[in-house]
Amino acid sequence: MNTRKQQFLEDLAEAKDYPKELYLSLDRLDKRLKHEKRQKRLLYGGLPAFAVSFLFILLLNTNITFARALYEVPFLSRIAESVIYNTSLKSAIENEHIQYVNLKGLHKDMPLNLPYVISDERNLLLFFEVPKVSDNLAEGSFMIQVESMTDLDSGEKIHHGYTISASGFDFEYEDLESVLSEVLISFVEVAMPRNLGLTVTLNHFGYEGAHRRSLGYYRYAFNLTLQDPKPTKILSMDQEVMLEGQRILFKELTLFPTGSELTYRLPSDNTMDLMLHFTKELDGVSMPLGSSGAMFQDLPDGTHITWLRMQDNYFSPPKTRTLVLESYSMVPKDRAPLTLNLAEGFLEENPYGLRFHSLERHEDGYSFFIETEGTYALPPISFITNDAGEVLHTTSESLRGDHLFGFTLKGSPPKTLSVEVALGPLITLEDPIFIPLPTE
Amino acid sequence: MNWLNQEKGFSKEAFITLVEQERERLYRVAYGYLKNESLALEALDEAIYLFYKERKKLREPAYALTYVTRILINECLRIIRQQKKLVYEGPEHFQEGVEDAVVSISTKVALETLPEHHRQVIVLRYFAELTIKETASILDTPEGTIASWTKQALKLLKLELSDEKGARIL
Repeated sequence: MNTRKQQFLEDLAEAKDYPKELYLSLDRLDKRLKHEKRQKRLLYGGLPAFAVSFLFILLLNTNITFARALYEVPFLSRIAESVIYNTSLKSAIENEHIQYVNLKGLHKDMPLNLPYVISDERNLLLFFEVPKVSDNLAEGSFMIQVESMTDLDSGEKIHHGYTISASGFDFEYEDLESVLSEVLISFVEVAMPRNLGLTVTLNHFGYEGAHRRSLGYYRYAFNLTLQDPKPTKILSMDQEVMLEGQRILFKELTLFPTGSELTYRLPSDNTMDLMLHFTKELDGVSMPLGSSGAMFQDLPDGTHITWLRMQDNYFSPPKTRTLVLESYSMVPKDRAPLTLNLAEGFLEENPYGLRFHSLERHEDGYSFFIETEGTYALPPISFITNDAGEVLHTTSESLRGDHLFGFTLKGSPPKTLSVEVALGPLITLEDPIFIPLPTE
Repeated sequence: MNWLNQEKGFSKEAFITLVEQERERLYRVAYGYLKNESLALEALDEAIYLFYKERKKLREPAYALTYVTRILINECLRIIRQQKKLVYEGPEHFQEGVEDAVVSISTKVALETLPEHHRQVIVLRYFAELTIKETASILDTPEGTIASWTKQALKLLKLELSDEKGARIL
């Protein structure tokens, strides 16, 4: 049997190494369905209470946000909207940062509404609404994308310096009359205009077998005038956590209208470079962190600061929030670069579980592949230098889940390269570390 | 798959039977695509969930396995698209010159470099151990085309396997 065939048969055999969790798939489905039922009951069961509290507030005229909401939007549509959007009317209207813009777009008989936004100095959260104007919309999925942005004061298009986060969505329940989708624009390197023109596209798509097909493509223009940014609130934390002899100092939590920003420091006397992976618990319920980006800075004294942005639940703020440190990777700060011998096909022995896998030559360059023993969340190599000490430009990618990474460079492969290890294998904590986050 | 013939419509019981009988095969499909145990389980869980929610729309219960496999493939492709977000710059070179690319890399990696339709037939025929007829039904493609794609895919992978009965080559 040739080696290649043997290898393929081994791959097939590996697929038959069934994990024990496979046999619990129906249990997991059962839990998920029960959880959904509970959420639905809560949502619909709460409706009369919203109406009562609304009228109560209206009669007493004691709550300015309710009064404003009543003034700006039709009462009944807000009630309906609250159910549709899986949020509570009371808390949606009481979100002090909501700005009702009530913009409506229409293209080829397909409406797209922008009922409200939340903005701060650098971030803009757009809440788009897709009404179900036809039963056909219940099939397939949708994606909203921001095609272009214009500063309406200067008339100039904004070409760079921002990031956009959006995700696909669909009419999850047949009885929904519309769905809401959030799009977050972060102006990272440029100031956010307060008068902003947006061109957005709505892509409706489905699948035939494994083939994606378009069910509709629409384009809309919205002009926004945003309220002046409201001041941020800084809540002190000053909590220190020790992780394998390394100190992590959680300094503060800054509350922006569009999310929270956690600041933590890795002091200069740490001997390891750390990368931390968090989840969070809201009112005791575990969920993904919902990070919308992070910024880093290394101070001259060696202190490393991270600002980690997290999206909040804008409509139903939890009573308690806990950050959960689930896993991490670490490498010594004083690590030396490793020698990669491309001519003979090996990587210098190392404690990170990294091995040379293969080399490919292309017309205009080459790729080398590094196999990892442990799981790596990101490519394990940062800088690659040649014998002359020049840092080489490379593109990297994750190829086989999180255990094989490819690095592509221009030109002919030299005999050796020097590679700097960026991070170590992901280590999952048996006992996660819980860090309570302050609330107002 | 004869268990389906006894069912009228697609009941919850039929759904449970299908999952219990076919979960290993479905897992192999997911693993064939994703090469990662936890991702394969994630894809399978999502596919089972989506299939459960949609099962009443299934007009012909005999096609249940076809239907859930299609959902699973879509889910795998979605996860692969998410994974590709980890690519920092264009990986286009892996899409080109496929035949050359597979020379120096393992079959697992080579599988990922195959054009999508070739990868599908390899996963369905060899990982899921489906026949040409069953694969044709899932991909909604003529049997002759499936046979042709299988041969081409094996050639690209530089494998000399029997093309007749899927993973019964073992």
